[in-house]
Amino acid sequence: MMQRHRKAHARIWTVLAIGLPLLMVVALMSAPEPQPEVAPVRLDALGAGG
Amino acid sequence: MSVAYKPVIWNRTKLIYDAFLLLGIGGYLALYFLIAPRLGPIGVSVSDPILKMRAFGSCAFLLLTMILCIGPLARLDRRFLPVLYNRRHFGVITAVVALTHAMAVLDWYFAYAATPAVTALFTANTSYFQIAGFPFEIFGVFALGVLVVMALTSHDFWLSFLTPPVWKTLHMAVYLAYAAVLLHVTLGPLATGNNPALTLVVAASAAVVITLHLLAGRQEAARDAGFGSDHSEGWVCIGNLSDIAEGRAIIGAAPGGERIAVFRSKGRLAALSNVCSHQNGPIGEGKVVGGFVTCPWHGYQYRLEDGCSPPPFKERLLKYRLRLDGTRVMVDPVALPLGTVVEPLAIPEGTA
Repeated sequence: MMQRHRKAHARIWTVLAIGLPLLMVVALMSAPEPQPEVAPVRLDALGAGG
Repeated sequence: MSVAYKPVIWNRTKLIYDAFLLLGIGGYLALYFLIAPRLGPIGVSVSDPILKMRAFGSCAFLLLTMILCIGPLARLDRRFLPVLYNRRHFGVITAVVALTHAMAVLDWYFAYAATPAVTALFTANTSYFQIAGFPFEIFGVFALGVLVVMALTSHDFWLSFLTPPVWKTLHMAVYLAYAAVLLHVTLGPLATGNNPALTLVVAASAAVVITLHLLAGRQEAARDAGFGSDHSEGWVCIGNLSDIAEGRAIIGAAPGGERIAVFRSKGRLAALSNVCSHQNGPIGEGKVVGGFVTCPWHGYQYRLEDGCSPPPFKERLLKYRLRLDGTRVMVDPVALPLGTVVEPLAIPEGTA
């Protein structure tokens, strides 16, 4: 049993070692860039008086 | 051990272990609440509920990272074995911390939703088919589910009920939970927070966990490959008598790859399965204490004569016949039926 368990361990961590960094990089690359100079938006209607 | 099931069998070591653990978690949370508000951009304040979910979330991530490091560290260096001893309490506490994080999230982000908070969690964001804006909470829910199931089945009752192989396989789901946590953090705080320091910490944690597991796996594979194929009439040479220190064992393998430990105690030799019947710990890395072979992981004990735990306990190990060929220790790789009494082999005088 232990040998099967060891082999399963090795397979799982090999897959994770390749897959996780890739997934993390893809996720971070796909994140939208924050726009530094976004004009402020007024939520109250101009001239609404209040 | 197996004589009676109590909710938790406490002893001094476990109490010290848990005290360190709780103090560490308390200290981390206190420091987080104290320091984190001062590290953000000037003029931007973080509300208390958000601070709470971040504190507990980051704490759960770090705890899970540490838990996953314990196994390979104990394989690579015996000095980490004491940390392995009470790892289950570590896991249960991590599940509680993660659950607190989840409750804080539900209370803050989904408390005023038109549907119940849990329903809103799954339906508020349905961008499942794009990476940017993916509902990363789903990975957190999966990981939390695994941690809770593991915590609920962490007791020895479940270990006994499910049998160690099934229980071990079930608990390997923690690796998937870790992968889910990494995706939860990456698609959530890392992708939306634009915080390079946090990205660095998460990436470094993942690198440490993955590297340790790969190194431990490589070491075990090298050990498997290193076991000799020295056979004689079906018997396997496990090693040389002079290699076995008093009260210790050497480990070899049967042709199928199952490991066998040969212990030396008071001028006698005994061959047992290397797999502890409690949690499959490496018996051969333990020692003989008070005449009993003692597992290095949780201290389960077995007699040299028949591989059985002393009464009233009921655990049993497979035993093997052995003989000496000069100073070579030869083992019959066919295991004897559980409980078979085989007197340990006396080492002839003048033999190393």
